Amino acid sequence: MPALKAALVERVTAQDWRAACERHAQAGGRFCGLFASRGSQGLQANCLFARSDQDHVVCAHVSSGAIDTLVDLFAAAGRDEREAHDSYGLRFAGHEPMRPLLDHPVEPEAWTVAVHGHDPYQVAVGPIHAGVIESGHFRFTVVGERILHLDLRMFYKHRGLQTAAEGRPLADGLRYAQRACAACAVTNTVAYAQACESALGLAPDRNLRRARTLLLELERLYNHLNDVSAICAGVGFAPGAMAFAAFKERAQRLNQRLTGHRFLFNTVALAAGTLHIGQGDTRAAREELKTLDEEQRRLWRELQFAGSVQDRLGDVGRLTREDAVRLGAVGPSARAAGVHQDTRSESPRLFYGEFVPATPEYASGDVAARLDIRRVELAHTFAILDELLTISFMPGGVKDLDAPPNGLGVGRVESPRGETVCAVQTDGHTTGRLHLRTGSYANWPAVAHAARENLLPDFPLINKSFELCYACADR
Amino acid sequence: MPLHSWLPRAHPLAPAHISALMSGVMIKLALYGLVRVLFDWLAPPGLWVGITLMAVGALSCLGGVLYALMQHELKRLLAFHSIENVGIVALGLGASLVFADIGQPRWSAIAFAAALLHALNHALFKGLLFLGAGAFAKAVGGLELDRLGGLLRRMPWTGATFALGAMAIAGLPPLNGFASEWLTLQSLLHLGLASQMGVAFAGALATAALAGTAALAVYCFVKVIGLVLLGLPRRAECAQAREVPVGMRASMVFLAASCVALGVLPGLLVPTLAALGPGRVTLHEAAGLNIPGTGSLPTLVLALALVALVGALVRLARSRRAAPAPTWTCGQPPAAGLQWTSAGFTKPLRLVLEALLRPRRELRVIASSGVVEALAYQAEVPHLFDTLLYGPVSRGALRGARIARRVQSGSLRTYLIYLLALLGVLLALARTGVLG
Amino acid sequence: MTLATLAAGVVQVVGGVLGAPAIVGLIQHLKARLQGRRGPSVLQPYRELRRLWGKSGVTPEPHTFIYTVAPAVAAASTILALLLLPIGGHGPDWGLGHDALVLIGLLALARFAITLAAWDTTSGFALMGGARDLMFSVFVEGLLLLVLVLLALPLHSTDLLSMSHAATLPEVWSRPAHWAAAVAFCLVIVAETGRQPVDNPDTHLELTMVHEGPLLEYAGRELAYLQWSAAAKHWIMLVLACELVIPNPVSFAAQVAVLGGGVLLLSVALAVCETVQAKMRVLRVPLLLGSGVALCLLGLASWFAGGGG
Repeated sequence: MPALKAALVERVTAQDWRAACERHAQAGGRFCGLFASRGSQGLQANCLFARSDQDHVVCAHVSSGAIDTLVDLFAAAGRDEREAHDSYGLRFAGHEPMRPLLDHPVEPEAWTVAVHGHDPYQVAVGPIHAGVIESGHFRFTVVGERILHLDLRMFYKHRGLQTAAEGRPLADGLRYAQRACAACAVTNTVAYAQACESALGLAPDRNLRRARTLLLELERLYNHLNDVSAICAGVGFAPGAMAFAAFKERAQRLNQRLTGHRFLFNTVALAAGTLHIGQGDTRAAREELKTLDEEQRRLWRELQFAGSVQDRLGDVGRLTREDAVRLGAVGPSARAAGVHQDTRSESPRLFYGEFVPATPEYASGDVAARLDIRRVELAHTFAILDELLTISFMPGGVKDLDAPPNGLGVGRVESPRGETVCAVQTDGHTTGRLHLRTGSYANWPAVAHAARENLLPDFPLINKSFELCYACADR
Repeated sequence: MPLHSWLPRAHPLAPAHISALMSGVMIKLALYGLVRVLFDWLAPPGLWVGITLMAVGALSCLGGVLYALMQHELKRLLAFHSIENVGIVALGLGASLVFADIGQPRWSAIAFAAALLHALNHALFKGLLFLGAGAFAKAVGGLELDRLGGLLRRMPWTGATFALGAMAIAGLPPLNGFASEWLTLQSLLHLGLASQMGVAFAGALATAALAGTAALAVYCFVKVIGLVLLGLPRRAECAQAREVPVGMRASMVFLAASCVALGVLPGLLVPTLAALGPGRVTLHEAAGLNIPGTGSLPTLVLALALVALVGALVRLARSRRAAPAPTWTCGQPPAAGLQWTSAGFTKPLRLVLEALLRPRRELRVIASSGVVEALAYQAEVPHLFDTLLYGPVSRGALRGARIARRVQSGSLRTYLIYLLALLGVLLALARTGVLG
Repeated sequence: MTLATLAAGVVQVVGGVLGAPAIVGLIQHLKARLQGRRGPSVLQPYRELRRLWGKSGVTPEPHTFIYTVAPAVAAASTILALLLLPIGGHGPDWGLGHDALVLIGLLALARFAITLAAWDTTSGFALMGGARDLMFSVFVEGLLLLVLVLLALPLHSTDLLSMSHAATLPEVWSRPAHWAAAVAFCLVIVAETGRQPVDNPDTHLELTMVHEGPLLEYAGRELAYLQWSAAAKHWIMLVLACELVIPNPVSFAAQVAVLGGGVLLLSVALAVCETVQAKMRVLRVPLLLGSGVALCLLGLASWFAGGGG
């Protein structure tokens, strides 16, 4: 567990930008986001690295409007660079072809990867689906049933939340972060709060850390239960889908009882705690969680012995460990591929103690492994919740950290879908620039990659095994 | 099959009307020879001949239609269908021989009639399809399936008759292909009911093979009609295609009408054909086919009922207003890149039969500095008879010729020695009584 | 024409045309109940048909007359197929005969029309479903023919009436060949009616659709035709199973009672099967049907082993 320190900002010239980033990577830094911002001296490029000691930020002023690309060093930076290009006009030398991400040109050639040959053609799915599904457009290049390539077009739900938060008081930013997506509301707000507190040189006390950890795990609980239900529905296995949907409903009702909101909205405050749960309530919640745990374990056994379900999962949507690392996949999908990373084990601002990342039985990186990792993580979550709920919850607060405010804070929190990174550039007590890079944002390229060479009718299942949000990637 | 390799190569080279004649008449000459040899000179040739003929027929029809499905060029595809249809005829002839051998002259005659009827039908609808293909070639140039499309609107006469011919060859009621395939299928099925176990198994397997062939033929001609006649034109020539002159149209309409006529009134011909068969059995004449042991095929009523019902239902649906809308692509503008290809439509089958067809495919990623620029895809279904059978045979023959050439010295004396040696051997053989 | 034949004709038309949607409704309802949901009423398919009947259609661009005619062809050939069915071993001669292979031909015609319409509108989802359906049909038709061989063995006829008569013979149920045919026919039912594990009729995911895919472009009365045809296919398959496979008593009234009970029972079986089974991977389906083929050949062998010839 790293010590509780604020992020270290390194300011370099545009010429040194690439070399500085390369140096961080060689020193063991993990790329976790790149964004552009506009300061008094013009455009600025920022790159975030998570290192074992503390978070590092490389910042470079871009006077000429162009800067060296990092996409050949970190494939994960591809989407970030495209976004920075579209929304800030920042150009990246060497990123060719620069395909638009936020912009939606009409011609498919402008944003899809060309596939040469007589046989391939495209299949367009979304943004308007036959079912109630979020709006994303998938353009498959296929030959019949086999997927050769998948291009994603998202940002149909781009609401400009990050820009809207600029110039508002820091405390108001919570609402923007929360509205990025309902299913990750707690993660996003906690990440934002951590970023602001880090920028202001503050650290949460024990009570606040406990409260936020409880909220995060409650969020993970209902999300994971929902994901399992979705995978069962994806293979058309109604008993599993129905049972886990019912579990999810019970978890959400518990949320309602404990916090007053099924999606845990408005439970996180900046530099303060809001959660107040008495001894009686925690005991009742513990009891409820215990029965829920027992029942869901029984369902897992049933799922394990349902041959027709297991038959669908193996060797579908495989993401190798190398690809997961290269594409910057995070969260359960990365751990299912054998990447031993979980931000909960590096969260001094939360109450996880000596947390060890979960590993699935076989880290095969396919749908089966992604389902199994959720079984393991649900067990962890139940255990953590059980331990947290042994005593009551008091609204906590913050204490001063010795570090002076440096104007840029980073918060990293493990969401049910992977690491969510929030960076906040403060401008006194207002938000200068808010950047939210959620677990879904990081994982979408991995979905597209895992779909390749698979059968088209298996894609919905592959997609559901990642179960990413569209809204919090679009913001 | 397997002696068919020349056919798919010859057809695309020949002009359309020659192709029509080739499949209509030329291939039938071979069948005529077969019938003469087996049913006249060698009669009765024995059970194994019939079973072998059925096995070859089943192989031909399944293999023919399977490779037809994988073709990308219309005439080549049609040529493979000739192989399929000859296979069906062979199935009928084989069944006829077997029936004769196990003492069921009635079914023997029916199977014989089925084979002849199918041969006749094949000449009609295949002629029609080749003429149609010729008309398309004349109108738009090449016949690459993936580069056609939308021709039904531009060439309504050719298109409609071609579609009718496709329905007939796919063995759909109420056209002639269905009548003869029904008859063949009934004979094979009744062979499956025979009291000799081996015969019954041969019959049952042949029945399943022919049923699968029929379903594959439907699959194939859905693809052909879809790619050639329907959808959007895939190149400029298709969008500006012109209908062919009246003379060509008339011949196609005549053939199409014959397909309908033989489909609706096969019963007028079948008794005559059955009488030619080995059993000299007489069936009574009617419009449809009413054969004991079947539920009968009243083609005329069936056709009339179908047409009347379809007409009534279309009228009923028409009374509602219909709103125009582009084809649904999930809210995206329809684009040329979304048009399906021949390989795409048959992919499910190719994946299922991957072990059998052994397709070759290659996907290359063109990427520089972390960004994927493009992909290159290439795939083909090799013709296994060519690669596995004829390849080695022709290579072997060439090698044999090289060895044989050593014998050829070119000098007169050596040849004289060869002749004397041969004479000596012959005399020796005659002396010992091996010869003569 | 006897009274029984007349009654059979009435059941053919009333049961097939009007009763078929109730089978689909029943299966949907039972499934919901089995999954702990309240579910739609058994009459829901009728409500949907009524709603569609009143709605306007859609003419997609591009389309030709094939798009317009296809639903009518599918419905017409399904209607004719209905009239071939034996009911309680009887059936009026509508001038169509009662041949099993003609019935298969008519179903093939319906499939041909629907998949061709998919090419007409160039809808990717329709083509996807159509291609899969046609691929399945290759194996389904082969298997169905083998089943018919087994079922035609006792009386040497493919006439559905006499095949139904064969099912009233007392010795039928003691023959392994008949058992094999029964099990293989169950596979055919599941595949032809588009039920799990072959197809998921409840899915809203376009990419996984088989039988639903080609329906996506339709609306109004044309869609009503297609939905009715799908329901009528359930009726055809279940009635065939009851008439040819389940051993029947000799009297007409008792046979009709067995038919009613059998259709009900098979609907329950389909609902249960669909609940406990996940959907298969598309490419595994031929394997399932292939096991049916093996079973049929085994049945044929057993016929000779039992000296049945």
